[in-house]
Amino acid sequence: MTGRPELNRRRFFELAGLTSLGGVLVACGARSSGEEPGRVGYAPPIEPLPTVTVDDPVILRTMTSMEYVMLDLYQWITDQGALDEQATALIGRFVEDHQAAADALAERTTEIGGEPYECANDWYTRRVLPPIEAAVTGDDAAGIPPSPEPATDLLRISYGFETVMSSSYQKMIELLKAPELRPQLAELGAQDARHSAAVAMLATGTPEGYISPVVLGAEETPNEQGADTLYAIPARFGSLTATEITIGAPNEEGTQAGFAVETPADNAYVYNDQTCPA
Amino acid sequence: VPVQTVPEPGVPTEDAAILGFLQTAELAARDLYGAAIEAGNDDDLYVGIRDNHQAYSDRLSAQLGRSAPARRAEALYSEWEQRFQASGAEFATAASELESTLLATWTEALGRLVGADGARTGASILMVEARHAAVLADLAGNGDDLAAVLENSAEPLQLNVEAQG
Repeated sequence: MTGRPELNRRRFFELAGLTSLGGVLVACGARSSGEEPGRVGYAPPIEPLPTVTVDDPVILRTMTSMEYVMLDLYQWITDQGALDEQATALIGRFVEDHQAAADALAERTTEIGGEPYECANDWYTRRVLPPIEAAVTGDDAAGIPPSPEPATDLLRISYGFETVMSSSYQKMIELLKAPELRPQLAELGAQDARHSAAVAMLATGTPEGYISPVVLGAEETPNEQGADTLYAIPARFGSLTATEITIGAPNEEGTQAGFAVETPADNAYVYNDQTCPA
Repeated sequence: VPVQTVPEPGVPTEDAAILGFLQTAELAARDLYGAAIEAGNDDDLYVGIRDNHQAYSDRLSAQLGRSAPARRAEALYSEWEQRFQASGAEFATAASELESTLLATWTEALGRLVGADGARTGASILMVEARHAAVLADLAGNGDDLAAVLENSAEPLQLNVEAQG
């Protein structure tokens, strides 16, 4: 018989537990090389993100780029050849208004010491528009069939984007530092609100398309495909929330695809050091 | 890491007078629609627009607190009262012109407001008053005239904060 304690099952777990605890305590006591969290492997050192400023020129540059998004969108809508004469005339007028707005914003950007940004917003061009366009034209590779009602969908897209533009100007008015810039953005936003109202009256018909039942205290019921009726007066106050665009061929459950389009935010701002894509 | 340069929140004293004037204008519009509805123009559209103007006044009351005038601009009401007693296209034309006038007034006011809160409220109101004007132009029989539906040639009310009615 020796003095060595017997290593039974209970004793084994006690020793294993003490060993693990010791390891944790040693690790906790180790000196860190800095405030940043520890890193694993041989990754290159993290470079801090540059600090960018959302000032008045950035706001005007961003809205200029959104006007060019609208011009590109309407070129695509016109190219589909699905709209009737009345809708085509309306879109033609919108194109004139958006081009004039883009030119006016670029000129104002220069006046306040900024560099105009006269091309479409890259974020919307690359991320927002393609899936919406595919829902209308179809995409064989992605298994998306073409829309059976392209004319209806194109008007829905126009309504949605004009509403987003109006909301975007509403948002930017609040962000502007110089009050004297606000009236110009208010006029452009109000014009886009009128565009949106005109599309609603054309798409839904009148007087049905004048005012949403929601404004009158009732409920709005989507149609069988899940799409809301387009109304010229959809709400009591201008909204800053995302605008839902419901379009495309119905799926096997009978519902259409919904795309939530938001106003420009940090990722979509056109900062002062950005130039048009080559 | 975006850094934003935005105006200060709140309603500075100089903004309160402008917003107060605009509240009296919104209440005059509410009462004009109310009188028209009582006179028989009781379409849902007019009821909805009247209630919208009430809501705009309520929003301004919430921002202004005790300094809110909470009364209509009598001069504005008197100026438009007779035209709002008409019916059909004649009434819709008057209503469209009033909405365009309010829209122009808010637009001008935004250039004079110092704080962010008043600008936020004004922007959210004028975007819908623009829609009011477009719809009423259509109802007045000008739906095929894109200029009537899409353009605003109205002059703003004089932002004379002394003359609140």
